[in-house]
Amino acid sequence: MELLTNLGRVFSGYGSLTWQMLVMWTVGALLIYLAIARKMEPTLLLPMGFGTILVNLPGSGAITQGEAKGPLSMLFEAGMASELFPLLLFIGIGAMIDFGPLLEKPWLMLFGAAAQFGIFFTFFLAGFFFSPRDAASIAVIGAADGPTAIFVANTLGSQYLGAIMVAAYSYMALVPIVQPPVIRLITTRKERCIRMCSQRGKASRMTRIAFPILVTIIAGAAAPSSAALVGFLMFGNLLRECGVLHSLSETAQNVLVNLVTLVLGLTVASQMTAERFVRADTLLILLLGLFAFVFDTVGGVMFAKLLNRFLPQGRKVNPMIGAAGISAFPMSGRVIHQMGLAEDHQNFLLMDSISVNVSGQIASVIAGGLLLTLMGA
Amino acid sequence: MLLWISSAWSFTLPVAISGLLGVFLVMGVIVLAVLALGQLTARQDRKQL
Repeated sequence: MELLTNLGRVFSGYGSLTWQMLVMWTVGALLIYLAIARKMEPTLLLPMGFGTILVNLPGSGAITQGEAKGPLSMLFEAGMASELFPLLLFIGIGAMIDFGPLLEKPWLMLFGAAAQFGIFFTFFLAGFFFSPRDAASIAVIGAADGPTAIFVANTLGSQYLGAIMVAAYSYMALVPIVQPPVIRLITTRKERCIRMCSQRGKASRMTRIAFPILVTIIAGAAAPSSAALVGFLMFGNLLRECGVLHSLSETAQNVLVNLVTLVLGLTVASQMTAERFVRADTLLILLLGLFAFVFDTVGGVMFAKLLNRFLPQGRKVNPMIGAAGISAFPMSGRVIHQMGLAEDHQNFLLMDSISVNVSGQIASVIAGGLLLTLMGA
Repeated sequence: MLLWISSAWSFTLPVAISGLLGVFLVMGVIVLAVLALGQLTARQDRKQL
């Protein structure tokens, strides 16, 4: 009899299974599939997928250990509630980015600003369905920048962090699928074939070193809430450009990014419990995130088309490069370059599209910071 | 319903417009600062030559 009772205890967990948990297992399996079979952002989607299954086991010890907090809840408090993980990740991202090509054509930064249109348009749309704080968090999915999305959603205390993260990282990986049809829809073949002026300025070492400091001061003063975000990104870049801290720069680019990414996906998954995720809201968030991506692309392209109305012949810009301002670095820049080559085998847009792409990285951080400031965070 | 729609508009629209303009302004200031820095360092380079 005692044996049967003990056996019953062993299998009692299965009795607490709900259909919502099974849905989340499927979501987890889908994320793992996308990471492995489709190679979509595997560094994040794989830990997120596994973590999703882990936290949706009945009475999962990863979330709670009786009265005490489980390891994933503790990681969340230490690294996400404190915003430490996205910030540390930004040091590595900053160290990876070469702003040199952008500094040779600094006016391209305006495309980065234009491509944030989707964030604010989505914020406006999401305001009809969600509270302003949640609407702002959802809109930042359009930043195509995971750490910024986490930072903003977390600072604004959004209850949809898990769904926002899934949307942000999935759409980032879907850039080659989402952007080309949108760009083709709003440009003519003639516009896509425009060759850009190859004349570039020169960025001295002094400019490269001063740039991260300048951006930190200007953006940090305009949106104090984003001072940490922009500051950590630019600190990473200063490590790269100063020329005397090679080993630190290498560590930030590789070891630090890998370590933080390793725990980031699992930690985010701690927010993907069935009760938080299996809701009608989640579908709406995924849809609004897609809207943000599409309208960011539209904003960048339309801004380039507007500029072309005033630019003389021979100085016109290829409107496709505007779409690279959505930040998903370096994927968006590469997609635009490949689209340019597909239209004209001699049209090399890589330098310009990557320049716009890195400016999108700065602009998305500023957009996130401004949203925080305007929301009074 | 109409009241709800109008209240959503009245808050989100001004924030969205000022946010987008803000991004342009801040990026514009950064562009100007980089251009000024470029001029400054180019002058120094010429002096060194």
